[in-house]
Amino acid sequence: MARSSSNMLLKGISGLLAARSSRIVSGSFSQYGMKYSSTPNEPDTHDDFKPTNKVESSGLSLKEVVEQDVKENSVLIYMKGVPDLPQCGFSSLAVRVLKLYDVPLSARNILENPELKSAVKAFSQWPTFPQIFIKGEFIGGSDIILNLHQVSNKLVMYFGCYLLFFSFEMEMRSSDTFGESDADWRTEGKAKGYCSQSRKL
Amino acid sequence: MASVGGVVSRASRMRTKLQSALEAIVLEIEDVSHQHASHAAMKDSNAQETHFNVKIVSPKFHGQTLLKRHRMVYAALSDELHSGLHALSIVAKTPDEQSS
Repeated sequence: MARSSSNMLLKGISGLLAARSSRIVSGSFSQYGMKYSSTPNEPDTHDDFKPTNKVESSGLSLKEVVEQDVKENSVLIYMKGVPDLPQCGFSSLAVRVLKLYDVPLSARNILENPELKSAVKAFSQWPTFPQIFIKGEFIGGSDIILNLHQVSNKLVMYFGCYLLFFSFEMEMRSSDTFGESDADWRTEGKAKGYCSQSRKL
Repeated sequence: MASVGGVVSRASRMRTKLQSALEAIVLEIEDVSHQHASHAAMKDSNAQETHFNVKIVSPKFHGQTLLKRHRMVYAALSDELHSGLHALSIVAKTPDEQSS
C-alpha cells in the first residue's frame, strides 16, 4: 500500500521532470541543429537567403563549440543517429540506459557532421562513439554507462538531486532490463534495424 | 587461426599488443564485425575486422577506474583504431575481480 502510494508520488514527480526535460532536449537540439545543418547552398540564391554556418559566423572553433556544449548541457551524448532512431547498437544501448533516469538528455548526431565527430574525439581523447558527458565530465562510452548503471550502481550518484527521489524506483527497475552476465548484453540477437548490441527492454 | 595466406589477422595483432602492453592473464578477443554490418556507417563499406569484443584480465588495472582501464586498452590498440578498427566492447577486470 505504502509502496504503491510512493510509486504514484514518484511517477508524478518523474512526469513533471520528464515534461521539463522534453522541452530542454528539443530546445537545445534545434539550437545546435542549425549549427550543424547540411542544407545545400544553391548557387543562384541571394546571399541574404542562404543558410548561414553558425559555427563560422560565431567565430568559435569546433573545439570551443564542444567545450561550450559540454558545459551547457548537464547530460549530453554524442551518438550515431538520434535518441528516437539510433544508428548503432552501442548508441542505442547508451540512450536506453540514460532514459531510465528521466534526466534532461541532450544528444548530437555525429554522423551528420564529420568535423564535429573529429572535434569530439580530440576533445575527449576517446576514439569511439557514443560518448557521454554528465555535468561537464566525460563519463565514457556505452560499456561504462551500462556498468555504472547495472554493476556498480554508481550512475545514480552522477545525477545529483534528481535521483534522490528516483533511487528507490531505480532499484526496482535496474535488474529487469539488461543481462546479468558480461556475455548477455553483448551477444543478444539482432533487433530490427540495429546490430546485436540492442536489447528489448 | 593467427594468419591466413601469410596475412596476420587483426585479432592476432590485437592479442599481441594487449598481451605486451597490459600483461593480460586472461584475454578473449572475438570478432563480431558481422553483427554490425547493418550500421548506417558500415552499410557502404566492405570493411571487415571492424568490431570486436575484448575481455581482458590484468593486474595493471588494479586501482584504475573503468574509464582509465578503457583508455589503457585503447592506447594499446591505437594503431588498429587508426587502420579500420571501428569499435570495441571492453570488459576489463583485475585478477581479484575476475575470481570474485
